[in-house]
Amino acid sequence: MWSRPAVEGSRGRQAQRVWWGAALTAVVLVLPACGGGGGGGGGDSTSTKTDSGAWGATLKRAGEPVKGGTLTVDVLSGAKGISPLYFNEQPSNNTIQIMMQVFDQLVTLEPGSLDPKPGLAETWEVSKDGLTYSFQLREAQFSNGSPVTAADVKFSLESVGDSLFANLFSAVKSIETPSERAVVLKLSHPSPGLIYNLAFPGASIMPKAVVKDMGEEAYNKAPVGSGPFVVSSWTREQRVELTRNDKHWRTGMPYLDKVVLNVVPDDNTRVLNVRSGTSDVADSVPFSQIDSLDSSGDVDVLLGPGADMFTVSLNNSKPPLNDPQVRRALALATPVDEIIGVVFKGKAPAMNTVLPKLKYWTDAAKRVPYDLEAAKAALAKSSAPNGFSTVIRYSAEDQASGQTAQILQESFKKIGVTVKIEPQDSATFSEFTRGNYEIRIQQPGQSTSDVPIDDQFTTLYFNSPAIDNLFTFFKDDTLADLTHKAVRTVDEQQRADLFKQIHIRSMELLPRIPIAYTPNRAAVSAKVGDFNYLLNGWWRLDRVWKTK
Amino acid sequence: MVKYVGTRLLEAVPVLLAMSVLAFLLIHLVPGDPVRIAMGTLATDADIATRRQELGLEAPLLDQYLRFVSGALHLDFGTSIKSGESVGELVARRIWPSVLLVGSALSLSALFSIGLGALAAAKRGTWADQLIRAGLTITFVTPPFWLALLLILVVSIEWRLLPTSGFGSTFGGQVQSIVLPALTMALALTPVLLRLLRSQLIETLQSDYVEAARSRRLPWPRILFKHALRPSLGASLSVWGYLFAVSLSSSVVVEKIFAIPGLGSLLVEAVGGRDYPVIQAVTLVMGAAVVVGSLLTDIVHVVVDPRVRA
Repeated sequence: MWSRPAVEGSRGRQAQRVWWGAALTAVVLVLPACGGGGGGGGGDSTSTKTDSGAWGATLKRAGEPVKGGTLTVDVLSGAKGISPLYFNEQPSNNTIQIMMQVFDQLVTLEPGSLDPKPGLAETWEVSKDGLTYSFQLREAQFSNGSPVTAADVKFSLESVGDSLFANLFSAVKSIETPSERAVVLKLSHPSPGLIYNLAFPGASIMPKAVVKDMGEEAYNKAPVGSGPFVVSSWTREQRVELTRNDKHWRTGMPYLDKVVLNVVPDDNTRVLNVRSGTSDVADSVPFSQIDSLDSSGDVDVLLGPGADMFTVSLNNSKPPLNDPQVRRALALATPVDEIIGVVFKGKAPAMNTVLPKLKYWTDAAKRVPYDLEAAKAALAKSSAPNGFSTVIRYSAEDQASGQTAQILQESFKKIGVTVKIEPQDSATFSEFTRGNYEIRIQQPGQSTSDVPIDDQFTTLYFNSPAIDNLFTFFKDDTLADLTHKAVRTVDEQQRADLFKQIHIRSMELLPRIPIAYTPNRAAVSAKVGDFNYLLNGWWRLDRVWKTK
Repeated sequence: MVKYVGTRLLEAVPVLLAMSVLAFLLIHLVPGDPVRIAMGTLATDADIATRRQELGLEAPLLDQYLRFVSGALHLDFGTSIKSGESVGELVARRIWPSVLLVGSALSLSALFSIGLGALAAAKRGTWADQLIRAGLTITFVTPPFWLALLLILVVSIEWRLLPTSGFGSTFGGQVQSIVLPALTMALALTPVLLRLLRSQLIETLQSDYVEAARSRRLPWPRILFKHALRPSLGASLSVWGYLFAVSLSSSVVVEKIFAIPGLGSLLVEAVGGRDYPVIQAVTLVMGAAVVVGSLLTDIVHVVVDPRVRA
C-alpha cells in the first residue's frame, strides 16, 4: 500500500474551466491490496500505479461511503446476451460485467483478496484427500423472492459443467444435495483449483424454476439472480440499467441505487464524457491519455494489475519455429522495453513468464534480455543458421499489434530474419486455429485468465491436446506432466513448487515471446469512491459509492 | 408518372437479386468462421462442427442461398449467429437511427448548399463568396472524427447544450442526440454539393432569360430562387441521391464517435463476426435504399425541372 500525493489544479484556459471545476485536494490512495502471489517487480518500465502481484485494485477515496445515487459507466461495447447461460456458450467480457453485479456464486472473489471468500456458501469444508467439498448455503433470496436452494446450485453447476467452460469443472463427478441448504461435490480426482473456479462468473447461481419457466431465450434477456443489482432495462447496443436489489443478502449493500452501463465505442468520446461529468467512469482508457487524465484534477485513472498478457504467438509446429534455439533467438531480438514504451506508454510490466501473472507467478523465471549479439549467436547454433523469412499476422483493427509488428520487423532484420507484415481483418485473423500461421500477435485484452490461479492457462497451453495447446501447436511432455501434477496436487507448497518449475521450463522453451502483463485501466470521476477491478478486469460495484 | 415509377421498381428487382448473390458469395468465400468467432478459442473442433451443423452452415452454398432467398421473400432473415436474435428485429432496430441520422445530415447539407451556394453564386468573386468557399474547404478536408470532437468539446462540454453521445430513448431525446452527428456529416457533404450548385448557378445566371428577367427589373431574390435555382439543381440532385446511398454505409465513423447504434456499425460488426444472416439482410436493405433513393431523386428532379421528363 502506498499513498499518492494530491494533484492540484491551476488552470488558466477558459475552455478548461468547466472540466476541472474546484480543485480536488483529497488524498487518493490506490490500494492494490496484498494477498499471495509475488508482489511488484517483474518489469523495469512499470508505472508507479501498476502493481502486478495483487488480486485486483481499488481506488480509495477519503471519507465514508455514501448511500444512494446513480453510477454511469461508459463501456467499449455492448453485451449480446446478459445471462450466464448465454455467456457460457458465447463468452464475452461485456456479459461478465453484468453477471458480476446481478449474480452470486458459491464463493466470491474480492479486490484485495487472492483467495475466495464466502458467497452464497456461508461455510465449506474440503476433505483431507481433496475429493469431497461440502458447502453450507446461507439464507439468501433471488430478486424474485424465492430462496436460493441446493437444487438451484446443482442446476447451475451442471449447466456450466456442460458448457465451453466444462474443463474448469471436469473434476466434479457428482453433485449431491443432502438438504435444502447443503451441497456436496464429489470429485474424481483432487482439484485444488476448483474452489477458485467456483468463483468464476460462469458458475453463477441461477434460480432453476425461473429458468425452466421462462425458457432459456427469455431468461437471457431478463435474467434473475441473487446479486446486489437487478437488471431493470436492457436496450441492446446502447445501455443496461441496473437497480439496487433490496433482497440482497449483504446487509447495507450495495451503496448505489442505480448503475447505468452506456455503450460508447469511441475512446475519445468515453474520455470526454468522464471529464465533462456526463459519465462517472470510462472503461479501457487509451494508454496515451492516462497521464493527462490523471493530472486533470477531477478524474483519476485506476490502473489495476491484469490477468491478461500481450505476447507474440509462434506456431511451434512450423520450421524453423519448432526449434527452441530459433525461438530463443527471436526472443533475444525482441526489444520488449521499447514495445512497452510505444504501445503501453510504459504503463505495463514486462513479462518474465509466458503466462499471465497469477497466484503462482514466480520471480525464479527470468526475463529474456534484449541482446542482438546473443540472438545472432543463438540463431547460428540453430536449425536456421543463415536466417530465414517469416510472416507476422495481426488484426488490422488493433494499433498495438501493428506497432509491435513493425518494431519486430526492424529488429529481426538485424539478426537476418526477414519479416513480412500481414494485417488481416479480424475474422480472417481468427482462422489461426487451423494452424496456417507462422507468427501472430493477439491484441491486448484477449488472452485473459478467467481465474486467479495458474491452473487454467497452464492446462490450456501445455496440456490440451484436443485444441493443440490453444492452437500454439507446442508440445512438451515434461510440461504436460508437470501441469497434470500441479493441478491435482493438494499440498500448497508442492503445488507452488510445481508451478514454479513450469514457469522456469516454459521460459527456457519459449513457446511464445512474452512482452507485457496488460493492466486494466479506467478513468474514474473524483465523486466516485472505491471503484475497483478484480484481476481479470471485472468490477464489483456493490461496494462502490458516489458523493452527490 | 405511376408507370415510370413502376418500371423503375421492376428494374430494381434483378439489381437486388444480383446484389444478394454477390454479397452472399463474397462473404462466404472470404476466410473466417462465424461459429469459431462467436464461441472463441476454448471451443474444440467438435463443438464448432456441431454448432455449424445446427446452424445449417454445412449445407451446400446453393442450398444456403436458396434458403436465404425464400426466407427473405417472406421477410424472414433468420437469426443472428452472434446474438441469436431475429435478424429482422435487429435490422429494424438499427435502421431508425440511421434513417434519422442520414436524413438529417442530407437535409442539413441541402439547406446549407442551397443557401450558401446561392449566396456564393450571386456574390461571385466577392469576399462572401471567398469566405464560403474557403470555410467549406476547411470542413471538407477536416477528418470527420476531428470535426466531431471539436463539436462535442464546444457544444456539449463548453456550452452544455446537447448530449455528448448516445441515442435518446424518446423522440425528442433522439433528435437532440442526432444534431451533432448530423452536423458533422453535413459539414463534410455540403462542400461537394455547394461547388456543383454554385458553378451551375453561375452558368444559369449568365443565360439570356435571366438577363431578360433582370431587364424587367424583377426582384433579385425572385430571379435567383425562382428562375435560376430550379434549372441549376440537376447535377447536385443526382449527387445528393448518390450521397444518400453512400452515407447509409459510410456513417460508421460518426456512428462510432457519437455512439449511435445505426446500420453502418451493424454491418461492420457483422462483417467482423462473419454473421452471414445479418450481412445478407443489411446489404439487401442498403441495396433497396439505394434503389429507392435514386428513384426519389429522379422524381424530385422531374418535379423541380419538368424539362427532364421529356
